[in-house]
Amino acid sequence: MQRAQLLLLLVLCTLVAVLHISDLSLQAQQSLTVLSEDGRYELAVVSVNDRQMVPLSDLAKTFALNVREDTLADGLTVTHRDRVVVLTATQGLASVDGRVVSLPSPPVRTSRGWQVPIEFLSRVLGLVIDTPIELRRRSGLVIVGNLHVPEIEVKYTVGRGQAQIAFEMARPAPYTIEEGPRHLFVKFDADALDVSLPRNSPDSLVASIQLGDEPTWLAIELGSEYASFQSSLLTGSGMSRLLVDVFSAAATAAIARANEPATATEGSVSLIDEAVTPLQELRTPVTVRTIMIDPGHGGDDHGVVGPNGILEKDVTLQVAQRLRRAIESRLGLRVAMTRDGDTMVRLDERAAIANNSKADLFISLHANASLRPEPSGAEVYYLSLARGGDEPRREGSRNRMVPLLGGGTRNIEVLSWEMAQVGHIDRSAMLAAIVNAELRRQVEVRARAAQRAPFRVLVGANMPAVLVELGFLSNPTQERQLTSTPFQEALAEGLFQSVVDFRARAEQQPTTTPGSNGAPREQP
Amino acid sequence: MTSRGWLGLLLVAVTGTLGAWILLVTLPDVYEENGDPVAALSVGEPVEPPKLTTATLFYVSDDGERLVGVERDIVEGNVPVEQARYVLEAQFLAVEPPLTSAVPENTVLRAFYLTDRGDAFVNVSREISSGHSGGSLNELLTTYTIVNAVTVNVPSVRAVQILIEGRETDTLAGHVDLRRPLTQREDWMDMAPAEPSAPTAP
Repeated sequence: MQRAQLLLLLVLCTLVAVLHISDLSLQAQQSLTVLSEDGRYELAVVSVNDRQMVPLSDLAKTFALNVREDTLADGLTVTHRDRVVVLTATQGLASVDGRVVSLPSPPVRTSRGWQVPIEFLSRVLGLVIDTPIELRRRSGLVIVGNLHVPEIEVKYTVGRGQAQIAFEMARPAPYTIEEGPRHLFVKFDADALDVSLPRNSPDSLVASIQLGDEPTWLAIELGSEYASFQSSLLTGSGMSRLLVDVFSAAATAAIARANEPATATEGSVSLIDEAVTPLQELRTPVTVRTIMIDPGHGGDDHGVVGPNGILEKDVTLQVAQRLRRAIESRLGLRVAMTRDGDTMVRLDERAAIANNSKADLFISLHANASLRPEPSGAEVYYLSLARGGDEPRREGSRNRMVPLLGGGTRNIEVLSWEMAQVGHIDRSAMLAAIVNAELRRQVEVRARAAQRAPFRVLVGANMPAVLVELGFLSNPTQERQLTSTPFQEALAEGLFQSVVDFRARAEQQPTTTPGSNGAPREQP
Repeated sequence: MTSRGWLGLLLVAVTGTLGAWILLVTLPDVYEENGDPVAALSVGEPVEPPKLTTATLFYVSDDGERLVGVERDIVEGNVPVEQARYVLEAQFLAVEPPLTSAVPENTVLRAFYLTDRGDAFVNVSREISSGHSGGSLNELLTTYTIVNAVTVNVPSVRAVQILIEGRETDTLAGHVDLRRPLTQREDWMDMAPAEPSAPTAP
């Protein structure tokens, strides 16, 4: 009898052990964050046999799914409105309205109910609810719908007197930088961010880099020695890098000195040598290195619609892409674009992107329209301000006394970001005249010379800037031309030669442009 | 005369008296109470016709590239603000070919303000933007139709800022900066008088 009891006890212990071991294979893990237009919420993830799975009951509650267990077929039927999904417990397959979708594993029944692999979300659930669902494993994000959630990897490097925070993005995301009393806020125009932050230890320039109060902000907490910052955007080869350089007071003074004309110095200036050394690269030579191309309109803003339905936003983007290819391949210069797809970019953002990229030229491309069908030909504009004379310059600029290390002060003219073009009118006029002449060699250009107009997109550009009307979409003949490859190539060639010509002339002339070449500027 | 004849005559007399009373007494009273201007004019004292003045309005040239000035008689305002309103109301009226207006159809003047500095604010309805066909040339012509119409005809106005439904706006269609008052420009203006016709003075 005792033997039988012992045997029973042994069996029970074995059973408990087996159950315990099987429970070990089902460990609670971190959750996924689901982002949708309705907000964000957490979705529990469990690990079953080393595979990440989510409870089907949670998905059913969230996405209004009806789950029915089919014991005869050893499977599950999931329905949503008129969509039917059949899952079997034996194969990693799902049938969505008869279409077979593979899954890394079949659903598993645990003590917490049915679990499905996390791939079910993007591969099956998206089809069921008729909404794209993106699963980002690295960040644990599930993006439901067409939300803009840029992936950003933040890197931090620190040197003597300066530090650099690099935001690496697969695609450029519009942003603004705002300076607070103790923080720099990098605010992205997005629905949410998918950020990988560095694990840097605090130093005297940057105390921390973390998510801001809003889900699309990043906050750079500034250290005790912080004095100023500069930013720039580099794009190309499928990657964009937003660089935010922060400087100590000594480094800031060194930049100011580096950009100051020798005769304009006020007071005595004493610079610490060690502060100068790492900043030599910031002294921008008077060269044309970066071209910003701005394809007009985009997204919901179609611009002009031609009589046969051709959209201005498409024509400007196509010519911009041809021009970019020509400049990159034949001149080897860096080219950035305010948009590289069918996206809406606000007018002030376009100038901000150019300024943050430290572009040396800004070329905005548009197509024209008239109420009469006859007008045709390209036109070139540069900025005229709302009022004449020096008033815009007085409104747009102010002087700021900057204390310098070692004693003394220096008077720096700070141009308002919004009126940045004021200081570049002469060179913009030169660029407009060149574009007018070079385009005329390639395509029909209207009789008028380069004209001045108060165009909004040009006002904030802190570099020589022109707006080019490529032709009249309201003219049926030009509408056909503007969509043809030879005509677009001719336009791109004319603009390319303009860049070549302007570059040659600009590099022969010393610059007299205030506020340019790396001098501290106001941020938008 | 028979009694039936007397009865008929009495009926005619009563009907005629009643009809005359309604026509001559009751109806004018009703019209005056309703304030009908026509009735008021017909019974009131003669009113002087409004004083007219000649204004230059702007329309798109035959080649579609410029604005041409067209002289029209409009009501003369007593003060610059009133004068500017009359100018803009005339400018916004629909026109018949061969004239073409650069201001989109159905655009309405909501209000007009003038500051001591001579900056005018022209508040117009949203159709000026929603009905715009786009293109920088078109947008320049629309903008300077308004700016020039006011500054040419009301000398005390130095610059004009366009508001849409009472709000400041960036642009009409993505090009011309409307965040500040704009001064008169002749770049897109041809002052040679065109064929007079079409718009009706208010």
